[in-house]
Amino acid sequence: MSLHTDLRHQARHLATREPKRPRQASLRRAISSAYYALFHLLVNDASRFLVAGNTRNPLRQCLGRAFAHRTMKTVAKQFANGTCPTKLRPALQRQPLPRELEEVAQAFVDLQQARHEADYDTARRFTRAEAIDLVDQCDQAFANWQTVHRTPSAEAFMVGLLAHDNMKR
Amino acid sequence: MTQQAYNDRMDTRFIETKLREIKDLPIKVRSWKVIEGEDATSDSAIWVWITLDRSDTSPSERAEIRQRVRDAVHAAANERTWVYVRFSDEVPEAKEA
Repeated sequence: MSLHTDLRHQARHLATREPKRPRQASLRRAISSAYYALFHLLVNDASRFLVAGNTRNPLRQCLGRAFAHRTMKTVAKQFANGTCPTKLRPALQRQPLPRELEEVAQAFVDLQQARHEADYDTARRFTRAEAIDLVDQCDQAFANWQTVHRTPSAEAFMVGLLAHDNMKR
Repeated sequence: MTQQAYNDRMDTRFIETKLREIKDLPIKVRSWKVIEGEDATSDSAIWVWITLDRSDTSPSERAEIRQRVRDAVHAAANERTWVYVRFSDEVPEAKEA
């Protein structure tokens, strides 16, 4: 099974593993896993799109390490707000952004921030309801991605996730 | 809209008032709490903490509420500040980030 699928399952497992009093560590790791599940799904698919072919795994893995969380967030925020960065706009072929892609981008921004809080804000107390909601967002993002990942908009999104900050000039 | 104009209109009580005006949500909201701050990448953001009236909620119900909350905040603010919508039965006192 792929890393992103394993992480998605792990997120659900950790969010629900203690029936009565969930440990903060479990909830925090659940939220973190939910973010990384979506992160690795997008990096995996973008790398496969940009470096195709069954014999190119090592090259794809090199490319996968070039994705930056901050750049991905910048691009995701624009797509989530229904706008494509100007430099990528010709790739949309005049098609509107699919709603499902906007929701994937929205989930990415939400989960990245939640991951940051879960991993670094030790003053925060997380509830199971919050963790489950974030894991549900991750699941929905996976489902939405499956419906749009081969569209021109998703292809522009994937290129933007990697290259946006180098396309400004 | 400038930052000044944004601050003039968009205090957290104003946002909470606008949120309470949202009609026909799929689940009744027991309480709202709005917190302004900066997120992990130092972007201005608004957190809306929602406690729902029941715990057996579906992802689609929460997704609808999340979207309508974002739409309401953006309509009130005429501003695309990011809105983080969180469902929880405990609300943090301090600002996020």
